[in-house]
Amino acid sequence: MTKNDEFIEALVSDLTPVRRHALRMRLALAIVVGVIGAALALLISIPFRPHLHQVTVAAFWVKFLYTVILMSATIVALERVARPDGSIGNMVRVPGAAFGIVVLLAIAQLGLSPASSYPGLIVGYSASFCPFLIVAFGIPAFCANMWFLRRAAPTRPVLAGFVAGACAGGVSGWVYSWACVENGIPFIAIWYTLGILLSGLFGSLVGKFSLRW
Amino acid sequence: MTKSVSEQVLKGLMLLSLDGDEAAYRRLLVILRDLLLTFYRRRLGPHADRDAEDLVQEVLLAVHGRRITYDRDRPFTAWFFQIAKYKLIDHFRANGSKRGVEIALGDEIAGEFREEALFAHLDVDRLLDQLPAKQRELFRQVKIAGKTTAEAAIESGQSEAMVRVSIHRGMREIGRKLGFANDEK
Repeated sequence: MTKNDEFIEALVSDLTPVRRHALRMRLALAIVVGVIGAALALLISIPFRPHLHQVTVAAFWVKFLYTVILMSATIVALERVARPDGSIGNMVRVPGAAFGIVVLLAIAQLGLSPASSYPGLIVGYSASFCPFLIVAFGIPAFCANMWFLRRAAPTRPVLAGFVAGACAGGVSGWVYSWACVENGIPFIAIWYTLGILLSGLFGSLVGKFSLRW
Repeated sequence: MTKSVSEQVLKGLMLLSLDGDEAAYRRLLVILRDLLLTFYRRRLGPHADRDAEDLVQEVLLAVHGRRITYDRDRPFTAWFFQIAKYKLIDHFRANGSKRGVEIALGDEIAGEFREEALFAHLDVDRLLDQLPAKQRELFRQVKIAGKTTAEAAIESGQSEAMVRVSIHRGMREIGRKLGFANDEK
């Protein structure tokens, strides 16, 4: 028996069955952890949020749906980059299209509003910290995503890291939208997107160094 | 396009392995090890036997530890090949061989994992010889020469349905010879 045969025997004796959707179940767990983490962060921050009662129904739903789409697309992409033969393919187009629609809605809203309301619609109360809070609320989700990826087999660490970060940003942005005080669609198009992109960039940096195997 | 025999055999072994079949897993790992050794020795040159063996172990370890990332609905060889390629590039990077990385990236090394190498290993001819002559011919035409079942049906003068059944029986027979198919009739 050669060294190699012993090696193979060792692997064989360590064999345990893998269920059909084992990887997806693991990803689902990571996402749930991320949502709970972001929700806890949101709860803690609620006392610091005045003006909550002023949010319009339309603005709420635009935020909610935009972030749900970004979150869903990045979750699908995350499952794909976790596999060595996976490619994210059309999962770039979905967030792109969602962004395009929000930009169009933003332009329409600006067109229908008096110029005096522009600062409120674009910068609002929270532009200076909204993107950073989205990144911060996404930290638990990011850790969970990295835990997921490090046990998977991503062959493109920078891309995989970006997807993990953007997905954390998507989860966090969605949770954040539950109690965001802004009414401007331009605000959503700019600052939500920026927060999620920042989160993705941060992820690609971390991924570059920590997703090798 | 018909799926290749090697893909079906290796995928069959992998699916059984994922269900916890140790014999199938052992067989799979031995086949993969031999494939990888040939593959890496050719890439690394004649003086790198030890490197090749280390790489092979790394890949098998990755296959083992990360088998959760194999999607049962997708080709096995593509999944496996990506891991082998990733480890080769990693090896070149670690040794500071920029040229090696470029070669590994630019090269269509997937080709080496295709039919010939795998067929040679699995000794498909010997397996096919155990099938009845008619079935063997159909099997060869459809699974190896890549004809459609319709074409094979016209040439052999049988109905397309009969050709399908015949090939399916052939697959099952070969699977049984390799020791990983169920014996149910």
